[in-house]
Amino acid sequence: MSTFNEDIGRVYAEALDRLSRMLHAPGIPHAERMRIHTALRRLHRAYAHTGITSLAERAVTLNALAESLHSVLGRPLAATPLDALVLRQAVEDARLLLLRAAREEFPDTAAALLDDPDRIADDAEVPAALPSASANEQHSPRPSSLAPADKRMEYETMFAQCVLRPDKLATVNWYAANVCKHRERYAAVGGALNVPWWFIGAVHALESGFSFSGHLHNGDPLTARTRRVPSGRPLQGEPPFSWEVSAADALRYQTLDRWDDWSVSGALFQWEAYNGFGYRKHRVPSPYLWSFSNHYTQGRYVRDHVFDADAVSNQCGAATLLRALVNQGVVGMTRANVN
Amino acid sequence: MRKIMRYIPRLLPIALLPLLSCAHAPVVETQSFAELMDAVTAASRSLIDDHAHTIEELRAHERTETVTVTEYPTAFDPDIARTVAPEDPGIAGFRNAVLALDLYRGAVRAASEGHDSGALEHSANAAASLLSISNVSAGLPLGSAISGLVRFLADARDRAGLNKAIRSGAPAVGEILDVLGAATPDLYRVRVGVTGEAIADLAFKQESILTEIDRIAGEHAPPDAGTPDALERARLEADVHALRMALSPDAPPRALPVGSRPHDSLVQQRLAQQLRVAQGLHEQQRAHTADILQFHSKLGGYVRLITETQNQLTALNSASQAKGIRP
Repeated sequence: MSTFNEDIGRVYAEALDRLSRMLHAPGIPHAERMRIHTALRRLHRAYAHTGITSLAERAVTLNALAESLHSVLGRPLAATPLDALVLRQAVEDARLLLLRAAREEFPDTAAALLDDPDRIADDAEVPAALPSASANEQHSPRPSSLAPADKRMEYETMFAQCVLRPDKLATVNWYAANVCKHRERYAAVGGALNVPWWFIGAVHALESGFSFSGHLHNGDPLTARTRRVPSGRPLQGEPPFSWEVSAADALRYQTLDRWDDWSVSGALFQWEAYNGFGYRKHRVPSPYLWSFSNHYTQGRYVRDHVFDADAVSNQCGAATLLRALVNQGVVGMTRANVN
Repeated sequence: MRKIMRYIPRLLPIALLPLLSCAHAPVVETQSFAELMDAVTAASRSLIDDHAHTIEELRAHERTETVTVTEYPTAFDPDIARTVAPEDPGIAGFRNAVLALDLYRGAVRAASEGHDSGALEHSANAAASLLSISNVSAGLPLGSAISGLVRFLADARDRAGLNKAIRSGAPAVGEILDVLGAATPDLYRVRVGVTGEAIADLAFKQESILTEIDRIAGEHAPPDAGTPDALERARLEADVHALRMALSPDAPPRALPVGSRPHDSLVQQRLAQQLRVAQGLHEQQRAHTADILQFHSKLGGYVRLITETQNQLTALNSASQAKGIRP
């Protein structure tokens, strides 16, 4: 079986040879030659970027390579039918290569990708906002096995490239130290529900600033049921609630007890779902995940449904925190799972 | 599992160290290994510098595409001026990896040459200092390997600690060397892509000039036979054909077109000027091609160097004993 390097090299070489011949073919009008030149530049650019990015990013960039060839195919030049045939084959090769790269890097997404490679860039599967409080126990459960295929790639790529901001290192370390400090309490709640302690720890940090006197749902005081979204939790029992009882309710409410994908992408998907997918509308990486890392600069919801593009989160994002825990060796990470 | 299997040959000697006989690593081996590490780190630095330069070139290409008519910023932002652009995280990560290899090489050399505790303390402090900044590269593929290696070295404040650090650091060194070797196709792709784009630009300009030469020539009659202009025209035709062949070896030979206007010596001079510009561009194209070939060769040497260093690392581990490397 040929390797990624061989495949991408072959596709590039074939496309380069064909486009170069077209560029130097006699009698081509200047406008056509310019278009071929543009296609050549895009081809080279895409090839260079495959070296820069990670494997997942390379796959996405290959799309650009395929598009570059498409642009030539879409408006055929004064080329022979053989030229078009070779180019079409090169485009198909690029697509197959894209699939193979994705399949090798993210085996779980293979089935979905095989159906339609273009789904890699599709954002149609962003779930709706978190269920409203009135839905209570009747809300639709979120997917219980894997994060959507397109997001798995995004999460894993961003996590792999996540760099802690040097000016926030001390703060991130403080967050990590606090999560470790309360590890046993998180594990006691999460153990029974199959939710990792570090996942609960990050939610605890973000929702109630490590306070054990607030609900894990949203930080409201334990002396009463929750008032903000989701309101009226926990349904059972009477206030004041113990932190453990409230936390277990919050995790069940989020159907996390039915979630078994604790890989990087699975965890990041659930964190984002916990806070909501609203940031995607504004094309801003969620600070709930990425604050204090290279992925986030500004823009946040200053209150429910009110987004301020200039506001900056002052909390450490959950993914950033996980990155720090992995870096410190507190949490181990394999391709399949974080443990 | 596949990754673990790959490391077994390298890790096995380390695991068996306590069981080995009392023979310790010969000084010659450690020195030779340290020299190889010197060469690897120097070559790595050179490649990283090359790569950083290539990335800058690529970014410059991308920036020019966003400029429409005005080729300079129309406003000045002091906030941007105050911000020092951080180095590409990938490049910074590779630089840290090479720094860590440097420290390891220093540790091996210190062990083989019998440095005193003061020198070891100095090395350990250097490692600790690197550890404090290595978090900047956290999250990069090499991040954990670098942190692990540097942590080992930072703990080595006496001879026993140093020996332990050398043995414990060996797998991380092997992993870093693996990653550096595995990165070579990526480095090559970046260089080929960026240089290829420059070549495509040059090729396009040459074709445009050749088209212009055809257009100008096609408007005028050729010089009369036997005149100095006719001789010049023959040379011009030959040079144009040579350039066409260089750009596209399959190009069929053909004469310059001729037109109905009377021959004009000034026009012939214009044709010669255009051709000289095209020839200059072609020289640049050839220089780019030679540059890629040289880089290809450089990477080949680099990979062989890494392989040799990895072999030496394995041999060094096999030869060392439970008490570690002695001067």
